Amino acid sequence: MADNEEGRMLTKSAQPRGINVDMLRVVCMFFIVVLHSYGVVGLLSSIKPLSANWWVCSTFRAIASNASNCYVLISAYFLCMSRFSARKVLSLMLQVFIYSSVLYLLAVSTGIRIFNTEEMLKAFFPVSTAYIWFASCYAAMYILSPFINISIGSMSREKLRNLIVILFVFLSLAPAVTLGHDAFGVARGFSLIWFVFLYYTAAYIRLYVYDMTKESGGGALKYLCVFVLLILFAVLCRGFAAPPLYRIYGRTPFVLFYGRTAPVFLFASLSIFMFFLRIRVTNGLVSKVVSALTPLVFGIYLFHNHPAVRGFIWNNIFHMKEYANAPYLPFYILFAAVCVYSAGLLIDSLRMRLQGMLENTAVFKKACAALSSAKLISVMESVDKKAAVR
Amino acid sequence: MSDAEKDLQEACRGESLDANASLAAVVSMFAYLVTVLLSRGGVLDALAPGTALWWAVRFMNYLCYASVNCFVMSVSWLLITKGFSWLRAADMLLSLLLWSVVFFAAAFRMDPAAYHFSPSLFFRVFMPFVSGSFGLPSLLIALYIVSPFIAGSLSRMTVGQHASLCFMMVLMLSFIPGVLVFSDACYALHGRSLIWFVTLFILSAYIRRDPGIIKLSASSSFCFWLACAAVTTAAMYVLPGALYSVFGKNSYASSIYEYNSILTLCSSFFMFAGFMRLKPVKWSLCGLLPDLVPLMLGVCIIAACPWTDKFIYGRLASPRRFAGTAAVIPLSLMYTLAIFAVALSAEFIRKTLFSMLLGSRNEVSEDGR
Repeated sequence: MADNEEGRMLTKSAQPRGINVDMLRVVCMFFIVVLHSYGVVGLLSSIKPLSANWWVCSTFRAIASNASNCYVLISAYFLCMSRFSARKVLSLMLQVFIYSSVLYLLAVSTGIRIFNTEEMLKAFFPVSTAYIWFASCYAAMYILSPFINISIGSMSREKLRNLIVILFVFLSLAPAVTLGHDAFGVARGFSLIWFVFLYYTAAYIRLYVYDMTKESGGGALKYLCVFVLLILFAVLCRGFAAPPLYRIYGRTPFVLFYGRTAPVFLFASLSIFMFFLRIRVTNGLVSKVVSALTPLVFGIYLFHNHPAVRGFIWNNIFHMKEYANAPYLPFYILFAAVCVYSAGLLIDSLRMRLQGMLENTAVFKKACAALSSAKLISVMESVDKKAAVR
Repeated sequence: MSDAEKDLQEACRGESLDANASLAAVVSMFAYLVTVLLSRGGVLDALAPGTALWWAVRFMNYLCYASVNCFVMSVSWLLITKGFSWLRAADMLLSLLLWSVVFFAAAFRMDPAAYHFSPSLFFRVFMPFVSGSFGLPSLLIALYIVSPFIAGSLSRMTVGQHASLCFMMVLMLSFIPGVLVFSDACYALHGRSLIWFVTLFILSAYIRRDPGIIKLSASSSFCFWLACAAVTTAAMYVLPGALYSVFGKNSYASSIYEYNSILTLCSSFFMFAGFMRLKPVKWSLCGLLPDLVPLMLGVCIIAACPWTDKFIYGRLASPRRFAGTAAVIPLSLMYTLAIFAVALSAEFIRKTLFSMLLGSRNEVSEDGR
């Protein structure tokens, strides 16, 4: 995922740089799996409102709503000080392609999915068709990163802050205040413009607020407190403000309570991101485990959220809906998530070996060389990694 | 020649084309109103596919469809050097709010039964900018607000980097969604999004940076514009059936002529290029153009107002009544001209009144940001 080689160097505090944010990645992915465990099958709507299960699931969901924002923030935090590489784009596309095509073919051949021309095309062009939406937006953001870095470098601190405030008003505040009207095309955060906004925000943090590669950490706890308070606020609002709003408005405005663009979740994402930026991981075992898991976590996403298999996982293997009102539902959700997470890790370690072999082939190397020699791409690769610095 | 002299020469070359960009903006707005009249007036739906009139009206529609992109490119051209002022932005926002409230009040008075109070209606009437109830004007104002940031960023890029950015944006937001018809991977939302308008701004800035990239003459550019419209018309006749037979859905065909489709983008580029290669500086009307361009947003707001469109295009200037006859084309143009003139006058009066009230002419200041 993100380019944080730079971040893996050792600091004075003996913590491999980047382990703290890698930990956030690992945790985020776990919550994404938790979210999908009931989100995919519509479990929340089957749970009795305001019951214990409902509160726990709503809290899980509120925490998980920050995951994709955090992923983008982490990537942008490193990308704003990195050089663009065409090889990385191809590598990402290959990873997504392997999951998308292999799982689709498996799903069709085993009868999990009925063959359909459109879906087949999508499965074989997963990035261009947004079959895996996050991969599409992430790839687009990565491709634009050298230009965004130049853009950041062209602005003073004050000007960059103004841009972030303006984009916040357009993309986060406006849809929330108007209960979901999307005048500027933010598409509930599934869009490139939202990723670009997060990129600017992460770059601002790195350049002007806190650069973990230079500063010593500390002061993390207050960010965790803010995160907890915001999540509590969101969950309480969901429980007590949504029903009256539903009566007035005719529907519960998703964007206000669980959309990743909602101001409450944007600030929660920033709080938890800042928390992980400021903590120091000194335990050797934790560092080793996190380092081992980090390269595999995106694979977990690609595996468990593949459109052709996700319904099968949660409906046919774990039968989530049947446990909607069981008293042990939260534990069952965690159990299912751990199973899927572990399976994803195993599968992705196999994928890594396969991809390693493919990337060593002459074809892949030639493709990379051809891309890098193309004038339009070489211009991007030549952008200085400190272009964002004014 | 030194770099500074080259820059100066480049800037002068760009400025000399400002009149062309102004002309392109005014004509584009007129063409946009033609598409509004044809769609909201019900002409497009009233014609039987395959008839001569269907071909003629569709051709006119797709010809004018390029106007939105062309308008954005034209105003972007002008914005790059004009600078930004919060006073101007406030004027735009006030204009949108005023016309929204005034027209809603008029529409409500004419037909109170058509409106039931709801929070959604409230937001659409009283917060038209952030609710996007008018569509295009919200995006234009947003583009105006972010334009100094984009212009500043582009000025830091080399020509090669700028070209590369144009290529990537067009590839991701226009080419891929246009070719893979079921894809909108980056959510350009059919060109009705801020990111698409930013893309057009970037393209326009590139042309301004190197106007020499327009190699065609004005007449050749206009011919290509016509050709793009003809291809779109033919594609829209043939492709819906073909796409339906493959994917079982009708909706994909519309991706061919969305604002961000590659065909529409080419059409818009040729339309814009045609105007940029004209020699309007010799025309006597040329002096009026810079004063007309700031009124175009108001024209767009008034003529495409969602509260009064049923009245304007359904009763007042209803071209649907003539949909079966050849008169529909000249009548549509005449109606559009009348609406354009009325909207222009209304916006001019509004702007003059606001200027008097504010005690300023709301001129754009270079240091207003």
